[in-house]
Amino acid sequence: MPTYTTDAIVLGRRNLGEHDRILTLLTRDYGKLNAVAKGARKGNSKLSGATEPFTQLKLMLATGRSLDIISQCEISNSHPALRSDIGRLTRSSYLCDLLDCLIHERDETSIKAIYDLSVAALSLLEKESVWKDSPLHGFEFRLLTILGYMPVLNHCVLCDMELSDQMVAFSASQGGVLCPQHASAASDHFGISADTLQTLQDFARVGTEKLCNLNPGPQSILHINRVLREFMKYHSERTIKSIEFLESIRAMGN
Amino acid sequence: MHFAKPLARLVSELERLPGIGPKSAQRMAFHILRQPREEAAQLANAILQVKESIRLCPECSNFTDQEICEVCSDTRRDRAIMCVVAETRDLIAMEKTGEYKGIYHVLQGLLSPMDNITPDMLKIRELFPRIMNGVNEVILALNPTTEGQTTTFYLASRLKPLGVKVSQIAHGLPAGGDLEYADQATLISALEWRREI
Ligand SMILES: [Zn+2]
Ligand SMILES: [Zn+2]
Repeated sequence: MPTYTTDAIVLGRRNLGEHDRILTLLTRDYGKLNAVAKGARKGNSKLSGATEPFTQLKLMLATGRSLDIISQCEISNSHPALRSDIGRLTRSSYLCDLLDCLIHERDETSIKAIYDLSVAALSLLEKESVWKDSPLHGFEFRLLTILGYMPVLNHCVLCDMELSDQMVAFSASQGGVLCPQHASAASDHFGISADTLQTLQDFARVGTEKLCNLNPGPQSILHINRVLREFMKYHSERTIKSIEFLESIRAMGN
Repeated sequence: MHFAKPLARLVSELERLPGIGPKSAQRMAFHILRQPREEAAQLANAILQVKESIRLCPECSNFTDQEICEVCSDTRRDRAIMCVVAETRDLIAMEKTGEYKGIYHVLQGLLSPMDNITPDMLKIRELFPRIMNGVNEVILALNPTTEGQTTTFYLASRLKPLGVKVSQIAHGLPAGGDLEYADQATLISALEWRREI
């Protein structure tokens, strides 16, 4: 069987037969793919610790008839800090679920950039940030940019009118913000404040290090969460299940 | 060439069982087909009987064929200590140690962000009145997985305000394990759970 090596992040896993698991992996060289981890459910297996979501692996895979098989595996980072509280666990789970929902299997377009962005986001989620969702939203905006879905935030999608320092509307189906005159053109629009618009524009501008210092007010936080939630739902072909769970964890103050 | 309809139906029912692929389902279906009638009837009856006679214990949500499960009806059990597990099979594993003398609570699953399994889908609401009824220590014995840890943190945050002592079982190297082969997360938790000797 021909083999190949790559770096990978575990996005998800499901059981196969009595002892095995199928892992959904985001690989740095070949895109998203499913591979079999043989014996991963036996307690003493070297692979058992390697199949948890958001673990980073160095892999050797063997090309199989239907699914490729993990032949060698080394954990490069198991991200223990992401497993230290419910907020981090949930946000990292959402990040992996989102990648699984938005990236097509074996699609290698921009895959290295997406992979590196994801690794950076997981590391950022391990650190302290003023607003717990800023690393996650920063990741979402950058991912949307790479995938070519970046919402229009500086001018009205329909008339090009420059928008800043004012109340505007947001519509996922129109792909961004709308001026007050055009808001009613989209049935899914909702109003966002000038402050919220400013923070959204900041997300697109600020570097990764500054993300952790963003500190919007409570109203803006609700709006920004909603903007991203509706936008991601609109661009995903299937339900992003973890999004509801994330909302309930946020509502509990995590 | 297709399977005759009743056979195809059996294959597709078997395929829905966990861990059973199309090939195994076909093998099992043909086995059943060749079995004497009584043996096949025994299997069918066993399946129906499980559905009819097994229910959840109204106290701990363990599967039982009694009014109240064996553990809950045992008067020698220490009702001040409660061990929370995900599944009945975890309860049985704990019981096999012979070390634990308290009572249990079976959640019937784990919280899962990725599958959107939320607290209201598990036996969590049922936990609180039991704790208020004289429990002073809760041991969370859940798997060291993403789902197990999510559930552990959630329960800890809900239980601690009740003034009850909450602990989590130790996670680390398995007995007979090998340091060299342990992953980072396992070693870190083994370090975290170290104790003076
Ligand atoms: Zn306009
Ligand atoms: Zn019981």
